[in-house]
Amino acid sequence: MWILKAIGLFLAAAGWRLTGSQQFGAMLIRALSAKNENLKNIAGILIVRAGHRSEPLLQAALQRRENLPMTLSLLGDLGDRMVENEIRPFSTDRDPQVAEAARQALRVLASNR
Amino acid sequence: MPYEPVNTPIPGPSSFSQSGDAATLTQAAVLLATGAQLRGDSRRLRLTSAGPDAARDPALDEEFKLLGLPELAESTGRINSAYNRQLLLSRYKLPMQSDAILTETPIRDQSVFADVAQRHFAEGSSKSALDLMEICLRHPNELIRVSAAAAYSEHSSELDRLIRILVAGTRSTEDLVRSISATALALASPDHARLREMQGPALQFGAASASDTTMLVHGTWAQNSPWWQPGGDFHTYILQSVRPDLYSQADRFAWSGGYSDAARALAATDLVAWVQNHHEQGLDLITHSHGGNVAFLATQNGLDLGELILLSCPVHVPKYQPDMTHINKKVVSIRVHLDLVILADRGGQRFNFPGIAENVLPIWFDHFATHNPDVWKKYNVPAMI
Repeated sequence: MWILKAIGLFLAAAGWRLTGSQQFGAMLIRALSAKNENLKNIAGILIVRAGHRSEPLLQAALQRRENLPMTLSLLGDLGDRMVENEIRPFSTDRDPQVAEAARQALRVLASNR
Repeated sequence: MPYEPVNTPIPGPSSFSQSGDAATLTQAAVLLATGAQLRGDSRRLRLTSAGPDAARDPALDEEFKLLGLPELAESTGRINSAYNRQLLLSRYKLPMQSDAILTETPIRDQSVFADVAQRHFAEGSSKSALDLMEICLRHPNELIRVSAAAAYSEHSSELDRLIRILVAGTRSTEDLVRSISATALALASPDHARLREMQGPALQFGAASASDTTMLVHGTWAQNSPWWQPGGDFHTYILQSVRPDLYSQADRFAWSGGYSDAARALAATDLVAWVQNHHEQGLDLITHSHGGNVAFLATQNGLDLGELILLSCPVHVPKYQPDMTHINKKVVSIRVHLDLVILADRGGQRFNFPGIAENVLPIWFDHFATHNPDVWKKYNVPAMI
């Protein structure tokens, strides 16, 4: 039942905020690959709302090429220009959806300047 | 002068070592067909017409065989074409051309094309196919150049270079060259100014007068989701049963789907530009999620809309609110009870804003139920808009 899983994500986000344990954050990152769109969106929103705490987990996911279009978009949404150099190589990726997501993420970062 | 019709193509690589209309047209056909092979068009056409059990389109495959084309597996993604070109030119000891030079210097030695084609027909790999496209971008014949650019447009990392070749092709005196160039340009760069120029004042006027157009705007992280795109389930349902005027061209508006104020602000600017470029007036929008807030920002940027239908729109008034002076018909919000995605977003669920009509479906939690065609049918959503 996706609703129970969704409640689990809210709890994980709260646990992450309270304890700082990256294990809770990793639960949210894993949920980005959920088939249910609700779960995927809730996880994404909670990751962005966690702010810079999410960055190491997203950077690791980027290196593993996990959930790539969405991971790139999330890194752009965090607004930290430090990740620009990590996003840039993906803008010429062989996968056009990945390349487009990277270009859009760079554009969002640039507009934050 | 128009090309002579070809009754029998010159099969195999030999067309690349010959001249004359039949050879030129066959070379162009080989390039375009090779592009179709790499894109997997044969399989896609078959999937569309005969369902997922059938693998390939036999009619198309038969024509590929007449050209003597080797079998090629589908290959998506872009290669580093500058590097590939460097390797190719050094193989034939041809001078490198600076990227700053905007015109392609033709290669006059016909044997280079013949050899690259020979290798492709012998090897039959995506690499050999891309080499053939790459080298033919510098063919002295413009039909072959534009055919190579058309075929290469989904594989080369240098799309600007291909677009330059295609734009030049649209100015050809030859109908066939113009036609191939314009078609490929429309696919590679749908908003290109040259296409609008080619449409001429009559068509531009026609578009401007088409005030009854509806368009779908997706929400966060949905840029690549199929539901809102032509052929997707919701798009098809709206087009067939609710709004026959639904915009269905490939150049439909899309935005990054980013989850940030900056991403939405950029999207709003892009939406205004899209509408201006398409000469639409009083466009009706059906938006999902933060796509609705993008539309609000666009009205604040001066975009005039007809009707605005908001599906599961997170309420963030006053940050995102419509400029009602730019909405000529009505604003309708359709949502579910206690939408969990909106809960995560910390948005409000209910609009308490003058001029926005609220409709709550008897469904709980599901943010995506509002773009489900079955939900629209079951709860008669068309009657709410």
